[in-house]
Amino acid sequence: MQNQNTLNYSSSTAFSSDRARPQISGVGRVDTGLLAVTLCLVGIGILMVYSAGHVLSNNQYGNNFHYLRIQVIACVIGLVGMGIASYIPYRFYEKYSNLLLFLAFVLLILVFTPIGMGVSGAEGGTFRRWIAIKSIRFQPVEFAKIALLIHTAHFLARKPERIKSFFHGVLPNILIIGLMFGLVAKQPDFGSAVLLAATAGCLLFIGGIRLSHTFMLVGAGVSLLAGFIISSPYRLKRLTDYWASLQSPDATSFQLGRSLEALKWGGFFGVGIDDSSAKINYLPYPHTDFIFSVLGEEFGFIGAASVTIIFMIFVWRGISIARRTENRFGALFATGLTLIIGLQAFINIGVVTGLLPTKGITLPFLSYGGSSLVISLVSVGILLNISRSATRTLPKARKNEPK
Amino acid sequence: MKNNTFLSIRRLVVVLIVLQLGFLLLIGKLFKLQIPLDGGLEASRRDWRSEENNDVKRGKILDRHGTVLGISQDLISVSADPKTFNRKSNAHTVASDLAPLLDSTTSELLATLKRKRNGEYVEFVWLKKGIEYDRLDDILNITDKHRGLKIEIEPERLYPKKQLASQVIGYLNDLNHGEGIEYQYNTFLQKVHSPLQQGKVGLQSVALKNTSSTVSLGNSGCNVVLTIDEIIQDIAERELEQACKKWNAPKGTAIVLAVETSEILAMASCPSYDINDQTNANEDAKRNLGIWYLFEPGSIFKIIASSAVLNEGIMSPTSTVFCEFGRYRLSNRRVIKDVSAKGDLTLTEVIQKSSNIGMIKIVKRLGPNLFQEYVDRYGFGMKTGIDLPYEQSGSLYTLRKWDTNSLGSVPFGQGISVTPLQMVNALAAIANGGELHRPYITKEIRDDRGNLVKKNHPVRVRQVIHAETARKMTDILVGVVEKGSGMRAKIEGVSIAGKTGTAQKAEKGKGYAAGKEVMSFMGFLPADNPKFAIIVTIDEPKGARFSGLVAAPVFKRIAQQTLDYSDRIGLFDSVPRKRNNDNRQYVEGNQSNTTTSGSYTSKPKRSTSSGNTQNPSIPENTLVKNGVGL
Repeated sequence: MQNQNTLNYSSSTAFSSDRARPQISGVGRVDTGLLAVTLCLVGIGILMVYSAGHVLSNNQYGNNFHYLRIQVIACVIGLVGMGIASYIPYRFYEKYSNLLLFLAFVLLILVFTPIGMGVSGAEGGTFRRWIAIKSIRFQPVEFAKIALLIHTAHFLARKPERIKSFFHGVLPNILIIGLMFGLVAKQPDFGSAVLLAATAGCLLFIGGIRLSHTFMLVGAGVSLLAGFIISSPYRLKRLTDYWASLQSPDATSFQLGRSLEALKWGGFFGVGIDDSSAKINYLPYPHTDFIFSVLGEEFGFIGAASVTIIFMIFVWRGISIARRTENRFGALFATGLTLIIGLQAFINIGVVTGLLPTKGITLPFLSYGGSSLVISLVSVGILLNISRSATRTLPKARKNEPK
Repeated sequence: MKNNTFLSIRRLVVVLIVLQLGFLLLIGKLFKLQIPLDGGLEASRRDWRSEENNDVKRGKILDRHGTVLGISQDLISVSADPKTFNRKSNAHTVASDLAPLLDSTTSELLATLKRKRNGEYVEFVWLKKGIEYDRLDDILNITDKHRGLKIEIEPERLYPKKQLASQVIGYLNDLNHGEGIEYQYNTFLQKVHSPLQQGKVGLQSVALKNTSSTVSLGNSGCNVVLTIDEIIQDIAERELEQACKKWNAPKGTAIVLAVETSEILAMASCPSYDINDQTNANEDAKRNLGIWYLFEPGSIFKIIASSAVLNEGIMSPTSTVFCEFGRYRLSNRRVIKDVSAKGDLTLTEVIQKSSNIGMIKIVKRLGPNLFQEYVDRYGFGMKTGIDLPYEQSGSLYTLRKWDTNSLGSVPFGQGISVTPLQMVNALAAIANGGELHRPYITKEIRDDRGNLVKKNHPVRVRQVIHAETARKMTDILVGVVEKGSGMRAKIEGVSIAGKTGTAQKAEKGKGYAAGKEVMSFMGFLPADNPKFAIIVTIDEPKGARFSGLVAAPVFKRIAQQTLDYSDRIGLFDSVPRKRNNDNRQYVEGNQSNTTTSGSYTSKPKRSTSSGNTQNPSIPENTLVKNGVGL
């Protein structure tokens, strides 16, 4: 009876069912719940980028609307992209999965060439995270995340039995994930590196990797991670700060201390929109990494918890789409897209509330950042396209399953 | 069937649930952060209240009548972090709310709040320090309303009399070093002291343990009551400062000593400083010159040899010495000159005219060994043992090397160094019938509730000269003021015994130079029934050659006012008058053999010949040993 708990559609049946249902080609109804949640987050994001960023914007660019304007432009591009993506049949990506992965690696390497752009960090060191051509800048890691997901999902969907073999299934994936992790961490963008490795890892887990291999990989991953952290003073400091902050609230690092103070001042109802003082000079990155602190201060526990719940709904809708998708690639891809956004939100909120060690990672849809917003919206577009092909209810095979 | 295991719905659900649980954890964390369950502001207010009781407030420093010279008060300081301001709590609202409470103007506070460094608001500014504790509630109402305001409550040391007795009171720095009473009695000032713990240890050991475990005898340290009289101190300081200003002197000191007991009534040093503003004060102004300033005494030192020669019976006041008509060549070819060239002079005249040659002749008759012995007896070259830190002992180096053939200038006070306190204390011995006392400046120490913790009693060191000799010396010194060099110290209707002193200052490599002199005058009054002795020392006065012009008038003004004041309030009525009255609790030094009059042969012991060591004949802990309590 164990097979009742699994999506027991072989690729062949999936193909046949594709042909049987015309809506799969991209004309079925999209998941309105997911769309509504996304638009809701984007709306809050626009509001918060203005509210949290206008002081900094004024300081740096002389007008209050610099960040807002860029965010609105990115939002428009992203929404258009989302619309287009929702009509591109997701099977399209599967065909080019290897090419996309190759392109992602090229872009990630280009970051270290002269067209890559470095930004000096507050704690010293340069962060080479951008590719800049003329005035257009974007972060290759955003694209690389999606490319890795497509490749992993494709790998797991095409010959599902391969993952049971360590050398033919697990190892190639681990090598690709490891290589990408290394390149991203080298920028350095440790947060994103962890995020994409974790998401791809989850896909392997859902894709049917053996539990023995899972434990082995988790063990190896943890020890590698430990070595990686110890090798860098600033990462080690962040971790020890985090440890100290768990021991006693007084020992929190500067950034986190400011963030927690802002949240505390927010109280239950918040200080009111635009009345946060955290964003005025003293909270670092109020419009990007720490936008949630400003939100928590201005809208209080009500606002912060609501946004967290909206992300929960987002994850629930996304996973629900995956479960209702009969195509293996579609299901895995949808899972990956949902997880990468959900995990990123979880990590970001975890960091600003002091639950996780400090990591430079943004909050999807809310944080200022053009390429991040565009890619997130396009991801949702792809999810929406997958949802067109999803069944309204859970697949028939699960109908009789006791809940 | 094999495909079924490849995409696991169960695993997908596990991932979903784990992630959703993670989000729930975040909401829980947000709840904990944002919704205070401990009562918020009320709790923080309670914290302030309880905190104040933990620290022991430093005890007071009082003058002999209980006037407060130093006190610790809980004061509130308000600070702001302008970076945390928002629209409701911005610089303008904060400034206008706080201005009336901080006795400041809105614009003044606004300027402070808007101060910028590198284009950014500074993270920390003091808005006001030292606000009285009564205003705590009002200030808390404002600071709770606005964000970015913090208060601190700290006990601060205040000196209401500002520069009065500043060098005596001294200070204590963060490293627990300092000067004056604050340093000397630090342990008493900062500790709650139980009088029970003194003396009664044996029987009540159990009870003692109980009291010491609940040492909440109040939250103040012990109060130190000085022998200083605020009024006399003020007189001395005012007159000294005027004189220093008039003669453009860099330094000066005046001491008023109660003859009977050697209590210090006033100890003034110039330059002085406002003790509330120690950090900005000149270091030189912090020195208590009365015990720290070493100078060559000059002619005032002549009282030592003259009293010795009288005491030994070698000469009488009317015995004559030949004064070489003003020029006398010593065996080392040094020529000593006198201002007034005379032939034969009596002992009395030598002192009244302050003849150096006459003095050398007198010491020649006395002999170097006896002279040295009397210098020791008067306590020179040793600390007097006053309860103040950093007392200098002076140097008798020249005297030690002195041999019989080469008479130096020591007899008239050159070549040795003394402190003003040593000098006036020696004079007080003459005024006091030849009895030398250990001077002290702290009358008693009481705990917060007024219980006596320690009391200082007069300490007789030794009988230096016979009472008869002291009377003869007094007569001679009265003559100095009546018709000698100290005529400007004369007060109508009161007989004063005094001596002028003008000492040239030795400069390295140049010898004694004219124009750089230390001018002093010391005396006691009334001569027939001495109550207090005063020394005035002015360092390098400009434009005057004789101390009769410089120091004597200062002495006169201090003496006149002190006398008027002490008569008015009956200052000395409380001090036991009669010498043989046993009301006084004498605590004798360990030189008990020297205290019986007549046996003058035994010398005070000296541990080394350098003369720079602490007085071994008066161990610091004598009082404690004898069980009377300091």
